[in-house]
Amino acid sequence: MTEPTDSDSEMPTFPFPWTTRPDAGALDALLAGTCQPEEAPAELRAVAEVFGALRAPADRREVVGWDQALITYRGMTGLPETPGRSHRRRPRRRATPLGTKLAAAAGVAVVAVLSGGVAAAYTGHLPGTLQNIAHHTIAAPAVRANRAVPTPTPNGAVHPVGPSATASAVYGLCRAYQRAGEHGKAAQHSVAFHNLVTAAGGADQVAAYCAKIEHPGQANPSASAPGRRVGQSGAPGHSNHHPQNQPTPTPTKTKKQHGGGNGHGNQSP
Amino acid sequence: MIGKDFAAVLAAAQHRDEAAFAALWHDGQPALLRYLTVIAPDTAEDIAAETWTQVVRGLAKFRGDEQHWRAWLFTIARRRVIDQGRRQMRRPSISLDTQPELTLAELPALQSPDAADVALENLDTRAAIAVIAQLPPMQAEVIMLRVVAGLDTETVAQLLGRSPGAIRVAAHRGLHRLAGLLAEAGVTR
Repeated sequence: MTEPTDSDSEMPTFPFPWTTRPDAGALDALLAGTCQPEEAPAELRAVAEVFGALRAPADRREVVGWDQALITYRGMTGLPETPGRSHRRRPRRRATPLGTKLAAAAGVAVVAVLSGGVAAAYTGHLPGTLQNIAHHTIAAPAVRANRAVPTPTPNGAVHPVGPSATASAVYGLCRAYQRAGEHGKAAQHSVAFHNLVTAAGGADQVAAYCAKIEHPGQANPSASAPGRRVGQSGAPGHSNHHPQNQPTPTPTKTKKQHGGGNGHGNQSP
Repeated sequence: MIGKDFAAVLAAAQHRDEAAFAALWHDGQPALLRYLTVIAPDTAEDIAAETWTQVVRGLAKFRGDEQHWRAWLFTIARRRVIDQGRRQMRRPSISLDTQPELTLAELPALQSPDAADVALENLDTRAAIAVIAQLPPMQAEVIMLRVVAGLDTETVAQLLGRSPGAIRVAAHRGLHRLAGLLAEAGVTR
């Protein structure tokens, strides 16, 4: 952790801006992002500002390659590259776990429009962090503190209650409900729509209720259409600021951020 | 960084969950592109796309935590840069390892005020990348891997094939030089 002393001799004419060199700990904290610019030593404030800019949230133009990346992902994982055409090519394509849940909840028409987990994001079904990332990347509803959770019954069983129709997921629910209706009423009886019908005051009131609901992006001036909005608040570096107000399934506990590693994982593609 | 849910997100992405892959991509892409803008400014976007193609190809076999994931991502990107440099016999990429005296600031792409304009509208970030690109290549790359990629010293050392001590030296020299550049430019806080 100590800095070799030959650095000065190699740059004898370089104009260092400080007379007393900051200690290695302060420099490492800057590099690791563990100190804010205002916490940095005065002689390193400008450097800290530069690092802050390097870690700034994603720029719109930095994520224009997402569409191509998604096509690649779909192509290499066997998913349809474009949901609309996929049914002709792979009428019996395998659904993802999230996609399966969604199909059961909202009907296959939703999957055709908003494939797999993307649709799940719109109906608020994803784990907390994932939902929050989806909120920032595809204009899906944000993680809600009052998000509906399964409620245990007296005998200990857990019944799914679906997303709250009074929260921001209602727009996605409305869309899904409408499309399910176009393909048969059966899907509209799923758990996911129960709260929507309740909130609307009855199945016959859903259409009028949904007509009053604005697109989430319209409520937020910075948002754009689904699939077009980019991670405006998703810092590329380490600002792990996503709300963690929902328990999420974590199969294995991850190691500490700076716990070392071989730099390559254990994969061998 | 995705954080404590990384394992769940990774597992979902490995099982063809598009939303999970979207989370991985949107978390990694901006950092990847900024890093590539410094070490391969002319082809950063193309190499980023190639990197993700290779990531998807090996995704099912990947095992590791988020630090390993990021190391893997940036290792692939760096190898693509070097491979492309070998193919095209272009100095910028090859010089990363073999010509430490050549500064990235000497590259034509970085002599323009719009050097970092390839993928950024954020003026502060663009300016920050441009000033980092003024550093000697080794120092610039180490700082980008530590600050933007979020990798620790040991991981950067393995990625670059150097000792941890050499990485610390490069990082600290880079910090000193960066502070000097900013002072010369009258940037003080």
